[in-house]
Amino acid sequence: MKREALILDDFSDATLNLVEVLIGNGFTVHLLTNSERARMFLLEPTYIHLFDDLSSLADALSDINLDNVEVALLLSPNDELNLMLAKMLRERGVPRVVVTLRGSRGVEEARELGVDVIDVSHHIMNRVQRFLQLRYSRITPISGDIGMLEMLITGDSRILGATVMDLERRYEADIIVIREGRLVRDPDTVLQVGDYLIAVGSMSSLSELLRNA
Amino acid sequence: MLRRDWLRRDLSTLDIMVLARNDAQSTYYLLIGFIALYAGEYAFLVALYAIALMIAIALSYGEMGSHFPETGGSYLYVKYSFGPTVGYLSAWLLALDQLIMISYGTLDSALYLKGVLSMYGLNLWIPANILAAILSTLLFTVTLTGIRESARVALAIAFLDIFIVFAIILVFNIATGLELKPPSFKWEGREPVSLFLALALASRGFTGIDSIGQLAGEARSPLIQVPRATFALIIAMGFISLSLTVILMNRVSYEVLSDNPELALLMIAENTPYVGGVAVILVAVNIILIMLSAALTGYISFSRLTYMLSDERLLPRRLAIVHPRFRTPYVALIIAYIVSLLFIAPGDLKFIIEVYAIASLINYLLVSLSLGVLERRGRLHGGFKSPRIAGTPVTTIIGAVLISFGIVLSLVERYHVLWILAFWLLLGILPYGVRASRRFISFNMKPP
Repeated sequence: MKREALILDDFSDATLNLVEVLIGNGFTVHLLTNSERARMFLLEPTYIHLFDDLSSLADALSDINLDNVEVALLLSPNDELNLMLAKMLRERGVPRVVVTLRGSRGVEEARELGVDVIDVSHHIMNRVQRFLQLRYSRITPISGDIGMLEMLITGDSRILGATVMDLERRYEADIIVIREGRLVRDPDTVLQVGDYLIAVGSMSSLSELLRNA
Repeated sequence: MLRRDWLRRDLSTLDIMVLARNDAQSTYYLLIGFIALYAGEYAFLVALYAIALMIAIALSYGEMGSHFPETGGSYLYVKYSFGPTVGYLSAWLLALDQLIMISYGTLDSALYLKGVLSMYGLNLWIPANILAAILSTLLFTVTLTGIRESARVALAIAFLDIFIVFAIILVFNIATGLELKPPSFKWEGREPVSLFLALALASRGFTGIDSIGQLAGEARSPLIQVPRATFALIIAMGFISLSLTVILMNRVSYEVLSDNPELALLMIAENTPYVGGVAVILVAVNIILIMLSAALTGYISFSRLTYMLSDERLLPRRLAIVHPRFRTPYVALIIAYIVSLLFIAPGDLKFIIEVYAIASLINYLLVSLSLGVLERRGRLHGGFKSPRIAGTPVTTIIGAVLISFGIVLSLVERYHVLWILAFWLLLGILPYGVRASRRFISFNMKPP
């Protein structure tokens, strides 16, 4: 069976890159965009469905056999449009829908719909925190109950002075430290300001580590 | 062989043009002698009509193909505009010609092989139909055992064809001077046997051009490449086909042609100044390769098409069953093999030509009309747009008029073989109807 993906244009280069990646992985891509942007995608082997408003968006969608669509990526800058479309696509049986959201208001609604959310503001914050070495932490689910915690150790951190071995024993997690661009693997390493801590373990123990950090 | 979900996209515009030309040009090579024979002194004018029709069909495919980036060709186009049932019927009609392509490819190869050997005093004792059946068996075995059809091999054959026909035949004939007295050249006063039949054959002179849409799934940038390849194809095929007709009417006498119209190209080669002896061998080898390549394409296209229709649940899944060892759709291939033998058995190339391509013309008309629907909806963006008249593409208008004319000619002239077409349609409608009614019943039996 062929694999099909649906993309709602975000009107930036991200869509173009994403189209290339999906095609490179064997997907047939249906792109929803407007007539101004359409010319940009002519070099890509993709279906270019045109829409200018909501009614023409419904018409454009009617041309796509959603039964075959494996994943829909709704990336437009309009949160309401992304959520509305996500709801419709989930109702019509699209197994995986991913939306980008700029505001936090729709996150709960998206999760209730069984939709994966890329929180754009959160990503911007993460990048800025890393660039400026501000307080930063993130837990990413990896598989099942296992996740990964990334954290920057700041001057007010409660785990300053602890060793890697202490934390690994207390939270049953595997921990590595990145210090000044180098990996530090020694379990006796004492945590300092500016260290990046990366821990892999169960989601609950990572949450506990974060709370106590 | 049938992993259509992830074909490598490495065909260039030139590759697409050359591969599509292989299919379409083989039909013209097959028909050129018959068209000239039936048209007599009007052969040049009939060739012009054939080329005009080819341009209309090619432009419809080129414009339509600039919207669809995947393999599926006319099935996808017609399905988009008229729904899956009409799309299915249009693809099913095309499948008949793919089966006949196997028969004419192998039979014409056999005839050329025997023809060239007899020129050197070697009379092959095997009848042409038995030889064709052996060739078809070989090709069946090749496709059944899963040898991948290689675009590179097809490309090599196509380039060889262009080299031989263009560089040797055309250049030597044109350079040594042709009597340019259109439209009759040296055939003045040769009354047409049947101008009507000549036009009917010319209507189908470039059948196979639809393959340009099938190649989109393997092109790097199909939305741009398909229309570009279409323009190159029109120029190359138009020039070569018209030149061959002019050379035929200059170098070969009408009386000689009437003995063996199926060997028209061999006659042109034989009468080419300075290089006639070499050209005969080269042309014979070339035609044999081109025809075998067309027959191989017939096997592969038919099995791909039936696989795709089964995949879309329009045909029984059994047709898509792959051989446990060779991983090829052996049921579809066996059907193709048996049908090819049925057409080969009488050993009558004229009969095959009579049946061939009427179904394709109907398919081309549907594609042309589909383009009109697609453009009127305006929801799918493509890389090529022909001018509009009242919102309808010029290609649709010209294509619909010319193709309809071709269909009417073919239906009127070939009415006695239409039962084959009707039988084929019935064969396709029955399983489709049964499956559709089953789906309807299961849908309505579902609890609320």
